[in-house]
Amino acid sequence: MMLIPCPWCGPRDETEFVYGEAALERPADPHALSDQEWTDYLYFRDNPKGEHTERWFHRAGCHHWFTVERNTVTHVISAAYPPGKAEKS
Amino acid sequence: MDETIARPRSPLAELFLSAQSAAPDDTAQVHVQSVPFVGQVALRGKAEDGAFRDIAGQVLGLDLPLSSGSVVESEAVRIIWLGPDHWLVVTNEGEAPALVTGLQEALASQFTAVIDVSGARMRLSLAGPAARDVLASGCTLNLDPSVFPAGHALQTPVGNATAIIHCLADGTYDTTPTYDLYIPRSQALSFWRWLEHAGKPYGLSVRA
Repeated sequence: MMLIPCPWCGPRDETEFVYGEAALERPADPHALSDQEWTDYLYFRDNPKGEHTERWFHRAGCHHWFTVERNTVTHVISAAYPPGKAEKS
Repeated sequence: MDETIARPRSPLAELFLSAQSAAPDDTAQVHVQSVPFVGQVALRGKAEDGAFRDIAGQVLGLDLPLSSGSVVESEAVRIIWLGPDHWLVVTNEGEAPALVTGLQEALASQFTAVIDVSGARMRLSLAGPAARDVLASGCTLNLDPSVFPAGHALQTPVGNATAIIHCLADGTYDTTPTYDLYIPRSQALSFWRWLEHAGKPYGLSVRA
């Protein structure tokens, strides 16, 4: 069980949240992408062992999406912040 | 034309709570009171928008609370912070429509939403020496008065429902721990079943 620090509500139990997969930067101009690049963006994800930047949704609290930097091995959360701030690609 | 007016029905109507409350149990450590109809207004707008805050504050007569857990109260309304762009304004039964109209007119030029959600939740008032223990058995928040004092409110799962817990008295200074719970109407009956179960070891008594 993880304690996830919501940027607005503070640390809350993992069961209050919904996982929203990897936090990726949306392509600025989707029309400029090839079908392969668009498919990669939509469907294919890295499965890193270690640091991972991902989105979570505070379903049972403030109903907001935010970004979490979590280590997939140790579950240590090194940062949590509102979407759009200092995101890695 | 049919003159019959649909009357609101408590989500707990089938439990006949008034019959249970006729014989209150004075030895019970927790007392619960059902308040099925409460005026409620959902107010949405950006907390960082000063104009929005000013106008909403003028209409409501109170400044909007801006941090997690905070509540402000006057005789007419109670404003509960639910998120960085979301407040629940609680008022008396039947007073929500006028409040919605007032807010909508005043905020017409702002990027906001004002919605009457009076039917969305019912209120349960939980009071007694064991009120906090009963709640704690079904929720993951720390309810200790040092971090969840009187005047604090948070939305979180309690039992099998997503409830708003508002602490009215935290048990310090010889007060009786008292909590208002706002329970989604559709979850009220199953929440009541959970509450009966959770309150059994302490004795749960229904108050009219």
